[in-house]
Amino acid sequence: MKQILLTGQPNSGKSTFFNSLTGYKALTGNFPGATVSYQKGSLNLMGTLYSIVDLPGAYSLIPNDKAELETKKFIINEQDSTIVNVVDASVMSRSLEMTIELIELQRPMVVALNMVDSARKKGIRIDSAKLSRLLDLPVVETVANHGRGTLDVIRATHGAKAPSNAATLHYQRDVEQEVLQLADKLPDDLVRSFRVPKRTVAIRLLENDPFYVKELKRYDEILLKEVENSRHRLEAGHDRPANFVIAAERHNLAMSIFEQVTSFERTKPTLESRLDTVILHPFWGYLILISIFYLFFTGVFKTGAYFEGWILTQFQLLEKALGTWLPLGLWRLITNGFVQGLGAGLGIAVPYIIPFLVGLSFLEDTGYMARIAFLADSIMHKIGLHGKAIIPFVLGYGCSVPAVMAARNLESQRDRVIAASLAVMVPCSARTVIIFGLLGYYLGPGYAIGLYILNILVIGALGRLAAMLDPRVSPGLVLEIPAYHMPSLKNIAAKTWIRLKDFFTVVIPFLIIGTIALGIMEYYHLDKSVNHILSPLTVSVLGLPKAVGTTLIFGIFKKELSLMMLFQALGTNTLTDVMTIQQIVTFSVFTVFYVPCISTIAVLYRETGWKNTLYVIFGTTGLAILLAVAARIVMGVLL
Amino acid sequence: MTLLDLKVGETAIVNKMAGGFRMQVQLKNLGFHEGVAVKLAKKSVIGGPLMVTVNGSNVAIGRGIASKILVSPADDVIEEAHETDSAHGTAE
Repeated sequence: MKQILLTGQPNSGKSTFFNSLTGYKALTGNFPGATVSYQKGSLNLMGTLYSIVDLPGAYSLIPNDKAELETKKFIINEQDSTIVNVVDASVMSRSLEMTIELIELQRPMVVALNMVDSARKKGIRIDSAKLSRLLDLPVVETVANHGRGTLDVIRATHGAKAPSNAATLHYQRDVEQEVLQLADKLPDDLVRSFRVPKRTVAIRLLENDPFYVKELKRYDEILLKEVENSRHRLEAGHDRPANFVIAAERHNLAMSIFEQVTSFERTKPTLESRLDTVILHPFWGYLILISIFYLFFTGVFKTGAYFEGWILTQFQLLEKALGTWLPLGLWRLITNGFVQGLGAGLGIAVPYIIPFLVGLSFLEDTGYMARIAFLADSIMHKIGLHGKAIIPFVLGYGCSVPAVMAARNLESQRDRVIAASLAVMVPCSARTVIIFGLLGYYLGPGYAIGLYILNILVIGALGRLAAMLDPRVSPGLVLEIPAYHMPSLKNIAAKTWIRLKDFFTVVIPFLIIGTIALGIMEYYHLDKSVNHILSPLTVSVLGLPKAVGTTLIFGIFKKELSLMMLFQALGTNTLTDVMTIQQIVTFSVFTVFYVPCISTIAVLYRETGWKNTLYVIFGTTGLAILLAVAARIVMGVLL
Repeated sequence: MTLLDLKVGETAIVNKMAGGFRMQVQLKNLGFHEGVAVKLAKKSVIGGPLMVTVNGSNVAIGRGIASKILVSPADDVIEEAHETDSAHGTAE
């Protein structure tokens, strides 16, 4: 089996490329950093089996954030694989710098010149045959979102060899000499342990890549002196730090190649730049942003509420029918639990989740996400972060797990921890179900929107607090604003399905088991003791029915469960019969803020460490109690 | 003068990026090098970021970082400018 690594700069279309080969598997998005960890898929082409790996985008092999580090490690560790460098043709000059770094690894490689259609629209024409000659690599033109050329790339990996002509990719004479001299001094066994060519090790050492420097220091401190001497010579000759001397060499090489293979045509100002005049406008831009979110959420609510009523009625009928068929007893309890669980899952969650996921996919694919980062930059600075940190928050409305992972794209550890910890408080689609299915459905959309606004204010206040406690300045925004793309229906459907699959394969079974377990617990009166233990919190402090205790515990496993099992716990499908408005509000506020679900806790632990995770667990619980009590008091005064 | 002093639509040549190592690497990754022509495409509200066109792609840059990018005005530089200081190291 041949392994193929898809690498390239962020937002060059690697995941789209991957999907066109392996069937829809990877979540794509039109913003830099949509992929933060690798994904594998397989392809059978004319009897040969290929394993295709989609790696997170990287601007360089000297990692600048966690996602880039993952890419670098993967490329170095998987020596037997072929590299496919996906290059966005519309920004080729700078993408070539990464290509040169990859060529320096001297591994079998193919260049996929992607998005040639948008490059042409921008008036850029590339002579790919000439590019192929200059790089000594197969270069294949592709339009991955239409699946054009992607299979040709795979065919080109056959017989792809290490680019021997890479000798032509030499740096300027004095720099090249310094590199080669240093390379000669490096002991073979050390170089072998790095599994990259000698010249590349020398370049990395001159660039002061902390990984190679550390290893060398362990190996031979005297040699490190040599490296420092070389670096000083370069710095003296070029009047800038050695790593920038090398960066400039790579840049100049890239530019020189770019100029040799590209021709320009004058084009009219694109629709895009006119669109951005409105969308990024200091006033209209924000109005559009708020309108989009308002329309998005009301759209989700309207569609969801329409179907929720209908589906729930069907299940109520089914339940009544079962009630006449089955005798009272354990079996009746279990089947009831099953029907109620399934009904709650299909009736409450699906109607809201589907329109929600469609909307989110649309938002991701258009290229609006990076524009949100642009618009939010000054607000995000107020909570000690910068514009790019808005992406975890927006993704948080979908699911907290990718939101925490998306924080990987931030530059500093402090920003990553703060963004990840705050992003878990954004109501994910599961909690959206609670907000819409409970609060919105029974009390009206005004309450639901109110809770969203409260949530944003609370997160803002906590961010402000974090910024005051840790006043280190955030590095500031540097983010590529990608071209707009018209999202394809096929891609949106595929993305929605990928995300929904988890709901059907994990949440629904969980829910059915959960409701049956609760049914059995009820039969043996076990739920009573759980509810009793929790009653000081649920009854005394929050003023909720005693029976909600178990649902809150189940909610830690999967957030949707706290609402869906509420029906089972209270033994009804019409909550307003058994809960007051005050109780519904208090319950909603509590479930939105309290402890993130188990999957989120796991990923938070992996990304930010156990100490921070504990803070988040206890912090959110405390906060949820505080806010729920406040909600109880406020609702008590109002009603 | 810095990027902040440019008017929307003006083109300038980058002279120096006077910031820390990380900031410089980030900017270089997106195509900012000394000698490259950049165009101020959009300016947002007070305190908000700038949008700069470099080598045909758009990059959002926060004010703090923009204030550390020193530029000198350039006339008659085409929008898709791709000249560099010295395009040596030819690959022929």
